[in-house]
Amino acid sequence: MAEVSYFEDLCDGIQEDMETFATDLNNQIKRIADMLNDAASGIGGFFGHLFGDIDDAIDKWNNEILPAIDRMWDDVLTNVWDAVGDLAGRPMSLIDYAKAFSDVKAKIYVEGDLAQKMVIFQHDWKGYAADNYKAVATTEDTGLLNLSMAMDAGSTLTTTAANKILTLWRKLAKEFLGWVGDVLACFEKATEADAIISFEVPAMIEIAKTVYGNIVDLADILVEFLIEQCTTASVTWRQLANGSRGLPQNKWPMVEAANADVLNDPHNYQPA
Amino acid sequence: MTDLGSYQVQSQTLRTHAGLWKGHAGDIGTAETLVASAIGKGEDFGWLAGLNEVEDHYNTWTNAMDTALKDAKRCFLYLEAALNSAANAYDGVDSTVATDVGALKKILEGK
Repeated sequence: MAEVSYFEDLCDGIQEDMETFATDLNNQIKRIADMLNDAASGIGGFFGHLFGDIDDAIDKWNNEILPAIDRMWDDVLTNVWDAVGDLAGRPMSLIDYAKAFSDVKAKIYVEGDLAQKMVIFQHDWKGYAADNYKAVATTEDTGLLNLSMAMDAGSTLTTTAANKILTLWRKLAKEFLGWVGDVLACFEKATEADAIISFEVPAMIEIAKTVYGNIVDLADILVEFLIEQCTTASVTWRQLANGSRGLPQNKWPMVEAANADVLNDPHNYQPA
Repeated sequence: MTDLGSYQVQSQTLRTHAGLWKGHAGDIGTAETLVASAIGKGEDFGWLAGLNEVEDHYNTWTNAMDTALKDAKRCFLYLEAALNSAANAYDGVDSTVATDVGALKKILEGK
């Protein structure tokens, strides 16, 4: 499967692997049917019929194993796509968003910029307006610091989620053929009638269930990760959403009306 | 408004600070553009994230940040205008006039 970056890549890859699985499974079915036909019609068939093994094997193949393969195939097909669907997402978009948050963080805050300019300001201006300006400017500057910290946290959380989704997708893409290979291995051992007679349908069904069970396990890993991102990580989405991280209450510190009234009036500014 | 005399050296300090907030307002404008496509896109975390609160928390946070950026920009534009207005009043130059108080308030109110 090619590199998986988008959900469509994952679906296309799984679709391709499912087609490979179907082809391989059909080849196994044809091989076993040919083997049984050859056994029934050939010398081996003569001795087989003598002991009744070939007839029993053909009966078991036709009446038990083939219908079970049909059911197993439907079961795998439905459940694989259900399980893959649970993993849907747009991690590459998330990576773009994370980059935007990170760029904002880098853009909006320069440490010490205001502090240095305030030294000059206080040298040149004094009085009520100067005091108000200092308070307002410091509050606004702190707002920028808090906003930049929120952007940093949002960027980290978003990147982490995107990477987790991509990692799980790529694990699924890489290992899927191996999982269906275990199902095919059940049939590869059936090289003679005896193996058909002893073939265990329930075991085949169980192995088939692990194909989509493994995908469900990946989804469970993602769920666990998402819950952790909301609740117990060092920085969580819950903290960002309720404003206990970054900008307090997620509200920008507005210039208070009373302070604005002072700053609006040039008479309140006194040259030092 | 009243010309409060000529204090061009000091008024330049007011203009420097006005320029600082103008720069911040510009940076916030850039930030708004940068994050515009990310606002309210929690669904991109996927179906399982929707079930486990990540989508809601992300949307709540990004919408709050969107509002905060708009508010920040208003505050910075206001500070720029208020400081320039005071500087104009102290320049003692006919071509510079302090801005009307009502106009300054409108900037802060986003009108």
